[in-house]
Amino acid sequence: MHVATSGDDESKRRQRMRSLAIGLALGALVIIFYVATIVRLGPNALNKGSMRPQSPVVSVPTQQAPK
Amino acid sequence: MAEIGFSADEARARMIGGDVRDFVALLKPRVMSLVIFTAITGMVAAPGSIHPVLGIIALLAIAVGAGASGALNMWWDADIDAVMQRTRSRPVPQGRISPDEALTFGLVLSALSVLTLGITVSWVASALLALTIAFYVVIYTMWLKRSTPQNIVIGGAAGAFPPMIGWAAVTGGVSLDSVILFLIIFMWTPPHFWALALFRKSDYEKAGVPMLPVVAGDLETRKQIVIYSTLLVPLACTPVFTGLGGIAYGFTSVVLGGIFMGLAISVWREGEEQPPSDKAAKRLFGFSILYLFLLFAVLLAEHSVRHLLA
Repeated sequence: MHVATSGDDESKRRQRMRSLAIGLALGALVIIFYVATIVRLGPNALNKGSMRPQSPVVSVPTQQAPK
Repeated sequence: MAEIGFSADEARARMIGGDVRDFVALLKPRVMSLVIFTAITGMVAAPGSIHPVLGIIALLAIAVGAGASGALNMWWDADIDAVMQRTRSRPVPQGRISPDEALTFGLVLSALSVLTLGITVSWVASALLALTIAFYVVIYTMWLKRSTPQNIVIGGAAGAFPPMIGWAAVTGGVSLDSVILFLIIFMWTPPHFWALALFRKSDYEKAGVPMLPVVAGDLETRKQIVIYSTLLVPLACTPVFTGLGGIAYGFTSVVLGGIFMGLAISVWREGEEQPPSDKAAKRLFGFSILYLFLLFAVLLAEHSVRHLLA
């Protein structure tokens, strides 16, 4: 009975450590994506204006002056 | 993958479950460190630059991807790992981690590393990382390892990809210089692993892995080591001609290449001894690690200096 209990305790301790490691890994992943987004977007990351839909840019062909 | 039996101790270990350290061991940390080192060299040697934060994320993804392929390798090879002296203390054959846990761990980390590299850095680098994992797990571990003595010749490609992935993370593509870095590791792999196989022959024999010394014998293996070394040494000097390597690299590659060749020839001569002592094979195995490390270290140093002076 004693052996089974110590086995259970050890099992629970390892389970806790595994859960903690998974939690830390997920937290690290969140930080990685957050930081990568800031780095990739640069100064625009905090610019709310960049979130507004842009009006479509229509390019009008310019007529070339005859030589 | 074959079923494996468990002793009373292993059954207890199985009941308690794996420690975090066991999961770290699944990632083959020593192989991972070499992968990180060669990938850094690829990144620094590549023309152009990458934001340091993205560079660190790329390295992390490459390292985790390499570790994931190691976990998948341990899942598939648990039966032969249990037989071999060198690998029997690994977590899966010891029963500390179940094969299903190793499989899940490997698959999840593979997916996460490939996606992270693609989304944050480069999809070309990400595709190369996915190819590396698939090559190592499917082509090498599942197919070649147990079926042909050429297993490590072709399978060596998996270990050769990291500098190319690092290069692609910076440039977004593949170029001649990154292919040269790939080829150096590719040609280095056979003499390195065959030197190991010469003095671990009985291990491979017991596990039924058809390594060259087991299938073709010691003499043929020693001859093949010389042939591949003859190809490797001049190849390792080519970065000087493409501009990838400078004077220091040229000097290092020639001097170390000469020592490598000398050791390979002494391995060949050792085969004539009755019985062969394997001392030269052990020396070549040890030196081959130093050789690859120094070649990449000098390349890394040269390019770091170039970046600082630019």
